[in-house]
Amino acid sequence: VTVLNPSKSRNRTGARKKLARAKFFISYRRSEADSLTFADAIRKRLEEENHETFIDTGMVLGTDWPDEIAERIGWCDYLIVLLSEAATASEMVQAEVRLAHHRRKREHKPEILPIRMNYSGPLDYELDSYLARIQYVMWESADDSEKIIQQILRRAEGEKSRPAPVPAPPVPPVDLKRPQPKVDPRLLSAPDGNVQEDDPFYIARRADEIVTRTANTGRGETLVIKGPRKMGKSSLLVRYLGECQRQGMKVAFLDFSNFADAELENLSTLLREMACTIGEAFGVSLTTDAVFTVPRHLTYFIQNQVLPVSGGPVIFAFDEVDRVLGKPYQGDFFYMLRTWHENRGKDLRGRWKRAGLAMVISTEPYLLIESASRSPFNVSDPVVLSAFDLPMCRMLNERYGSPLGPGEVEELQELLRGHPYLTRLALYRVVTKDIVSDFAELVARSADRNGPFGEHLRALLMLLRDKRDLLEGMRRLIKSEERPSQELCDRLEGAGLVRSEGQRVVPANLVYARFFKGNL
Amino acid sequence: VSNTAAVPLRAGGTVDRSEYLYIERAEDADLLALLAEGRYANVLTSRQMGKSSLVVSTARKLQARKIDCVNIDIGELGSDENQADAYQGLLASICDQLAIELDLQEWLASTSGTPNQQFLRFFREIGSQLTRPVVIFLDEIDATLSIPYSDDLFIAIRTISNERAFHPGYGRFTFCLVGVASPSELVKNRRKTPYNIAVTLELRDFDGDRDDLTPLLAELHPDPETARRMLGRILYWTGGQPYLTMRFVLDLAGEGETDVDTYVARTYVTLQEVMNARGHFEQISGFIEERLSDALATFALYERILDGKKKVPDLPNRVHTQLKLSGLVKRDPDGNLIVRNPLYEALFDRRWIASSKPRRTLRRLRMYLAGAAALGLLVIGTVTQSARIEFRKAQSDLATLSQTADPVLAESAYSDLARDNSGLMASLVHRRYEARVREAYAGFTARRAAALEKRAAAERVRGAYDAALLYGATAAVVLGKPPSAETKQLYDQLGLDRLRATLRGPSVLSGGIAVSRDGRFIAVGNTVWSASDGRVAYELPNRSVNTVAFDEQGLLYTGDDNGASKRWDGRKQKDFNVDLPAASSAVTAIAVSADGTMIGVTSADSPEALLYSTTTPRVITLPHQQEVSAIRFSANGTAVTASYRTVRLWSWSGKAIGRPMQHRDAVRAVALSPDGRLVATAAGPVLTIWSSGGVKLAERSEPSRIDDVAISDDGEEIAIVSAKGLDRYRADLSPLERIAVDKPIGVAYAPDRSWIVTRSVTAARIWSTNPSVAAPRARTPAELLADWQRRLGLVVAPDDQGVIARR
Repeated sequence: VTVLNPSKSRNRTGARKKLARAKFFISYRRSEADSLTFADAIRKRLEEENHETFIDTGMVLGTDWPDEIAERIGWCDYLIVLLSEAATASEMVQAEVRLAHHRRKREHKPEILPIRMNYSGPLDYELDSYLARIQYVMWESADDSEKIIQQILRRAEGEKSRPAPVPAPPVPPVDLKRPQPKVDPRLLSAPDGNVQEDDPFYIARRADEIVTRTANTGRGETLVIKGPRKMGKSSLLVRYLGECQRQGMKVAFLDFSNFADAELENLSTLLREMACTIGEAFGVSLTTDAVFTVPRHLTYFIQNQVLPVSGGPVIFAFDEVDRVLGKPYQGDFFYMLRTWHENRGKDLRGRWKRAGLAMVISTEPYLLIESASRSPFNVSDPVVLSAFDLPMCRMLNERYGSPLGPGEVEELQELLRGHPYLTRLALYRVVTKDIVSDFAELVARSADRNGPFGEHLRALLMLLRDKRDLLEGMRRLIKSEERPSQELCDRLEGAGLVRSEGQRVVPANLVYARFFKGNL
Repeated sequence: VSNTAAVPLRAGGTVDRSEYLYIERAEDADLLALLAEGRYANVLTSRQMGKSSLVVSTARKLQARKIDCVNIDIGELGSDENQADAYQGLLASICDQLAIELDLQEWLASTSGTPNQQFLRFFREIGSQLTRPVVIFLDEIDATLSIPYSDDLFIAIRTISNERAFHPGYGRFTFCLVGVASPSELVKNRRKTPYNIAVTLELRDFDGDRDDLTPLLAELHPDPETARRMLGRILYWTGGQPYLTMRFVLDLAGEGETDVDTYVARTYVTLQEVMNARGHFEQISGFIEERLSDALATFALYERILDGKKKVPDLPNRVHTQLKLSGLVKRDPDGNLIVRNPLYEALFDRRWIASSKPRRTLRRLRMYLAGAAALGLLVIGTVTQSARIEFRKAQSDLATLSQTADPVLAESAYSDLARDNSGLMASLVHRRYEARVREAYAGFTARRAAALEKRAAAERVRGAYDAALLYGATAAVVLGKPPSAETKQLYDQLGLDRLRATLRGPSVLSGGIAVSRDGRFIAVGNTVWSASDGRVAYELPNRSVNTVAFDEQGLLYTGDDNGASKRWDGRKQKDFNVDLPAASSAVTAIAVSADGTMIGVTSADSPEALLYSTTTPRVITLPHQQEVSAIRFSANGTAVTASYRTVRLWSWSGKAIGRPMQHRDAVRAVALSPDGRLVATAAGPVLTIWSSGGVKLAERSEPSRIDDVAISDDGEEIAIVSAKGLDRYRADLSPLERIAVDKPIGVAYAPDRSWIVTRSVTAARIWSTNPSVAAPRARTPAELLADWQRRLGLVVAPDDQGVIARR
């Protein structure tokens, strides 16, 4: 890509010297040639125009690195996201957009400028939830570069006129080419109302059986799915809800991970948001004067406005509900969920009788609510999701066409300890050869920042940025084999970082052990 | 009867009988009868007894009799909500459930008065409009214990009851309180009349003779005989506790297990495991932790009941009530308290009592009772001469304890009071006296802790501060409170569990550390201790010692600031056979062969290590590029030296062996195994193990700089000290353990490595390497305190305004 009209550009520079310079963060996926070239071109031009730019060109990883990224997101006025097909599944791009999105909720900055890199397909679920309402610009070839750069420059000048919007593409049919870091609950609103469970690589575990049974009792049930991060909890929840829908239940689904931190600070905001989402699912709109100051108000809203119009069994499903961990209101909040469960029997008018509840947590319940008699998590035996065992890994290998030879599956299991997402990703990498040429290279480069799991590992560091105590506990565990306190152990386990073996606590798998050893 | 039950079974949670199996008990009919007549009733009992299900079932029957019902969960009222808002929520719920069309907000705005007045007015007005009677169930009533305005609520309800004759509106309502509480604790202000207007029902466990349990049989097994046998065993284990019984039936049916005893043995092994899986047990222990007002007395009562030797009659006092509410015990038909079931008996056993919070209180309780016995004897007038003497003494001891701040007096008074004299006290329990002893002692420890803290702050006496913490801890133990985080930290910090002895000498110890080859003596600088009793064996007159080493005869070799190398037989200096030339500057390290014939010395500013033979006047020079800082010998004629970043191995003839061992940082300490095969080096934070040939065998990086390193005589273990404490590793550097040691700078092994000695600037400490040989635990607070003092090297100085200082 060459910069067009350099002379013109120079003139404009002179004209705009007095203008306040804008700060740009350019997010892209480095392994892609087009994105790399274009990002570089954008950066050059912006700097010629005296704007400041930040572009992650491969900083040294370490505990400071996520801070640097976060700081830069906090620093910039604009986040330019180059969305290539691969970038949409990139956990790092997601992390950067997530940070920007959360900051924007708080400070109305930065503005996110998504540019689709010759890709008009669907966005990953999480990205979509952040970018759904933002218009895109489409880059199809190098010919578009200058036009888009001009648009960006005009935007930086404060020009409000927006580029011609490209409508957001429709939700895709299920085609999980690359394993997704998180299952896509939009599947639930697919036209025929059924979850398409034709994912050929889905490995059913014991938990699936329990969940199917629970969906078929014909009663209101409370389902708690518990397991560390990335164990497939959300995926199981979506399957459960799909099964519930098949049984004729109406589903109100709320993913707490979509809340910005600022939105969780205040109980009223959270309750109102929940009321909105739940109301929406049943076509009930909130009156403007509706008050949600205490959990009881939401309970009444559901009881008096939602349940009467539902006309049949319903289910309220909350993913990552433990995001409210540590908030001052958490005890009252979880007791509210407990009362929904109890109301099934207690409400003398029988309104709650067919109201199911499904919750996904990765935290030990005792950290969420102290009093066992007020907890919604012990009313039924939680469905605990565990890692893949060796036969499951073998089965998965077969589904991928047996890319791993004899002994290699065992080696993979040794490396990943059955981590469901990473195991799938590993097989995908070996089959596609997009990053590694063979299994041996995958093993050798497993903890590299640009290796087969690089995206995941960097995103993990990013996630831990605010959780200093977790990082510190992890660092001590790895560097000096110091056992963290029980609470910290439970939280580390919930975060999927460690596992307990009897009395010992060790990193969850070899990849994490190596990666954190090198980067903490 | 092989057909399965039409309605499924559920364990835990509120059960609506139209959905799930519901077992009726005798109390069902009682409650229904009371409420149908408009009489106030309470269902107050322990958790998971089926209270809420009973409410729902009763409400359905009342509705069938054209009595309206309202079921309110008090727990939904936020504890930080104000009274007006909470009342509004309560009234809104009543309106909602009775389908009363009333704009409550408007109604409240149009009425005036306090929230209680509005509340009462609501019942008067609404009641007069109602055509049917209404029963209002207030469930989870124990939530009011944390609500500040709850007294008002109960007063309002009592008003509604008392004034029903005057206001027809009130007469419409009947209240039923449901929850885990006793009627007497509901009204918190003792000066107000308690909530005494209702009949409290005792909800009993399932009983095969009394209740119809046949629906459970169908669930359990198709064969009626097998099912009956199973149910019998289930009821044996659970004592009919409703939740557990249902749980057992469900689990056994689910697993297809017919042998109940095997199932119990397999599933309910330890309380810890069961608690993780079953919220039920967590709730019991949660109650114990949160709700007991006198944990000490409650545990004592439970222990007596668990003991089962004597009958414990159920009495109407708080301790008995709280223990019953926990669900652990129940009243048997004879009116005695018994442990609820064999399962609890097995899980909530003596070990559980011991591990639960007021750990030492039970034993101490017995001790107090010794004194109390004397008093009791006097009171009932059967005083023997010895008892009279004991009584007088107890009284004077108590007086002493309540007034003194002198630790010696206090300890002696306390230990007399606390002497185990259980023969005397058997049936004479005088709670008041026992509490006074406890309070007096706690008062003393608190006074003392405060005084010490003041002194610690004023004079920065670290020992006084530690002592203050210990007194604080003791006060906490006596009062049955958990020790403060600070005290715990101190305990951890000092590794008290593993500490065998603290060795003290001059306030600042001079340099070096060594253990004699027979393990009997420890030398740090110019002070030598006996390792067995921790006493100072002798002190050298030379105070400027930098480095020490022992030969196998027990002679001590020292190098000092003045550049002199000397050897000592006890306090006596023993000349060498030949003259060792004095170094021009301080001797920084000394090493000696087992037979004492070869001595290695390094000195400040010198790039040479020198080997002297005490038999021939020969000196061998080991040349280096930079100043040599350390030297150590093996038993087989090799020496290792450290010079800046390089470590070298030499034969005693002065020949360099193997490759030089290079480091990134300056080498601070070096150790050589007696067989000469392993070299351990510490450079900056890095600990490295080398072969004698200079090949790096293992390496690890510590969080902070390593100050000293030692290899055990058998070459199996490495010990290092750093700011983090003492770390033990295997020879391959796989970690064995870390012991928290306060600011150690030197370390040495016992020959048999059964202990390790570390030194700081002010003290040396001996640590047991075997956790099971940790020092025995003290039995009473006084002993505990004495033990802590001894191990910390604290000395009681009674004349010094009650201040403890370190020696």
